Parts: sequence; C-alpha cells; structure tokens
Amino acid sequence: MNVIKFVYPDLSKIIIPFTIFTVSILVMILIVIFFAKKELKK
Amino acid sequence: MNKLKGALTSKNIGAGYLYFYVHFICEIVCFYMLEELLGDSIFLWFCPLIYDALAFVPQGIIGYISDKFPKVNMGIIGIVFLCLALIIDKLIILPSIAFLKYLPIIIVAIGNAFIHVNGAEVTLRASNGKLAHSAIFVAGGSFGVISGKLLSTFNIPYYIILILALTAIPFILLAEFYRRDADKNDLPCKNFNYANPKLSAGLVIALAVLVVFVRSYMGYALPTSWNKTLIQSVILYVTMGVGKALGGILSDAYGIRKVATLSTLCSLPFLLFGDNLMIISIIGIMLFSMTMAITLGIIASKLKSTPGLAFGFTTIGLFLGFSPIFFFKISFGIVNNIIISVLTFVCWIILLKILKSRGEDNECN
Repeated sequence: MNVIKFVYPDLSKIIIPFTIFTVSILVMILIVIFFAKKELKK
Repeated sequence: MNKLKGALTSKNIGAGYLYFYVHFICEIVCFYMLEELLGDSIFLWFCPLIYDALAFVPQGIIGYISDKFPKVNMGIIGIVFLCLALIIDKLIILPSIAFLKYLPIIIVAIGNAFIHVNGAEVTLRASNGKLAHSAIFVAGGSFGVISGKLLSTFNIPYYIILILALTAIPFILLAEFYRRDADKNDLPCKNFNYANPKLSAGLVIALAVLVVFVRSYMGYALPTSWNKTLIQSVILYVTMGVGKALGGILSDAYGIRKVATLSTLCSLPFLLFGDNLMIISIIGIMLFSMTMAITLGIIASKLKSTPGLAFGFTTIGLFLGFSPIFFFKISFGIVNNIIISVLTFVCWIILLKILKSRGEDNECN
C-alpha cells in the first residue's frame, strides 16, 4: 500500500507557466522577507 | 462570563464586525467563481493553485505598501477587482489564448489579497493590542467559503453575486473611520506585546509562520471521513469560523498563553479519534483553529509599525501549509496520525517558547 499518493497532473504540458509561477512565488516571499528585515533594522 | 462579554464589546470591536461581513462577501465571490470552473484536468488543477498563491502570497507586499501609504483604500481596490473578475468571467468572451483562461481567477485572487490586507490593517490598528477584532474579521472567511460554494451549487446567477460584492463597499468605508481614528496615535499597534522579548524578532516570526504552516497543512490533511453531506460540510466550515473567532475572544478574556497552549494540546485527541465521529472531529478542528489570531498577534508584536506586513507573513504560512495537497496526499491512516501528533506537539512547544511567559502576559485586557 502506497503511503504517499501523488495527485498532480502531467506537468510537462505546463512546464513553462509552472516554472514562471514557482519562481514568482519565491521572489514574492523573498521580497516580503526583505521588507521585514528592513523594518526590523529600524 | 463578564470577561467574555468584555472581550466581545471592547473598544472599536465594530471594526471586526464590519470586516467580518466584508471578508464573508469576499470569500463568497471567490469560491462562487472557483466552483464554477470548467476545463481539462490540468486547468482544474493549476487554476486553484494559482488562485491560492495569488490570494495569499502577495499580501505581505500589498500590506507593506498599505502600511506606507495609509490613504490608499486597499479594500475598495479589492472590491473593484472582484467585480471586474466576475464581469470578465461571465460577460466577456475572451479569445481562446491559454493565458486568458486564467485571467478572471488571477484578478479575483488579487482582489481577495487587497481586501484581506485592508481588513488586517483596520482591525489590528483599531484594536489597541487586542485579538478579538482581527479574530472576528478572519472568522468571516470560513462562512464565506461555504456560502460561495453553496450559491454556486444552487446556480445563483452571477449578478446577484455582483450585487453582494457591491454591498461590502459601505462596510469598508465605515471601517475606514476606525483606522483613521487609530492612526492619530504614532504607533497604533504598540500594545501588541505577546511575543517573548528574549527571542530575536526574526526567530519569533519564523516560528510563528511555522505554526501557521502546520495549522494550514492539518486543515487539509485531517481525516474527516464523516464529511459526506452538504450539511456536514456547512458544519465543518462554521466550526472553523467559530474556532478562529473564539481564539481571539478567549485570548482577550483569559490570556493568550493559556488559550494558545491549551487549545493546541487539547485538540490532539479530538483530531486523532474524530475521523468517523463528527462531534469529536469538529471539537478538535475548532480548538486547533483558535491559534489563527494568536499567531497574527505574535507576529504583529514584532512588526508593530507594519501590521499589513505582519499579516502577510501569516498568509505566506497558510499558502505553504496547504500547497502540498496539490502534489501529494498521505493515504495511510497511521502515518497520517503520527504526522498530526508530531506536528501538534511541535506547535505546542513553539507556542510555549515564543509567547511571553505567564508573569508577563499582555495586560491590556
């Protein structure tokens, strides 16, 4: 019995938008961390 | 009982009730549109993921902008986005370009983010360091999610939803008076003093986000085999909403540390043994949902001058917590129960560490 069941579809069909999406999310998180660091230094 | 009554009628609590309604309406529009999605399996998988990411992750950035430019009413911008998304989705026939299929969902998600940010700004600034205001605001979302799904299931026409979205405008404008009034103080969130002063701000924020991450993950990973009918789904979402509101109200009445640690620890047996028993399960879900406003209060204690940014951290934690469900599900009961137990215990330890110790409880009650 598989403990982990993978549920995502074939990502090769959307590899470019999915990559753009993932990078955008990471960039947004980094920007938020940058803002927080800036605020905490004050 | 008097303490509870005091928490429910504290100064500026009206801001919480006003934004309860705005949040409720916002989620109705979003989940009405999400329920109406049609397309192939990739579209139906990617669209909710894009929605969740764009509704949750940019809130920190929008929140920071809102902190720096308080005269810009993010709530009204949010309503404009929601209405625009509904109109584009239902009235405009978009050319069959792949990206344009996602446009209404992208717009509605950004609208959702704007509304959430303004709700957090208003309720945190006006609350004078209390949690009930933001807890009541946050609770409105759970009621909205299930209402939006129901309205879509019953094929309610889009223009009714559009009118509902517009009814939020006077509530946003009224709530703005609370923010303007609170902003007359130099630092409206100065009474948020819930975090352990001995720990660095960065560590407290990171640990609080981890608690949010765990709560979010568990919200989706919890076994709820009992949830089979429409009425049971309604009960589940209502319980989540009540739990979120109670977390803030009880914290104001009896102390944040007591409520945070007790609710987290007591939820565990109910969560583990509630798979097939609705009453047991919903008690666990309600108890675990209580940490929602508490984690926000902890982060706001470290980012007092930027409550919008503080709220953004909680929403990033929420997104990261439920994003794994788009990729995998743990289908073996014992493994799932071990994960739930370990994560709950970790949350309990973290909350004990990052909250002020008993003698230093926030005394703004």
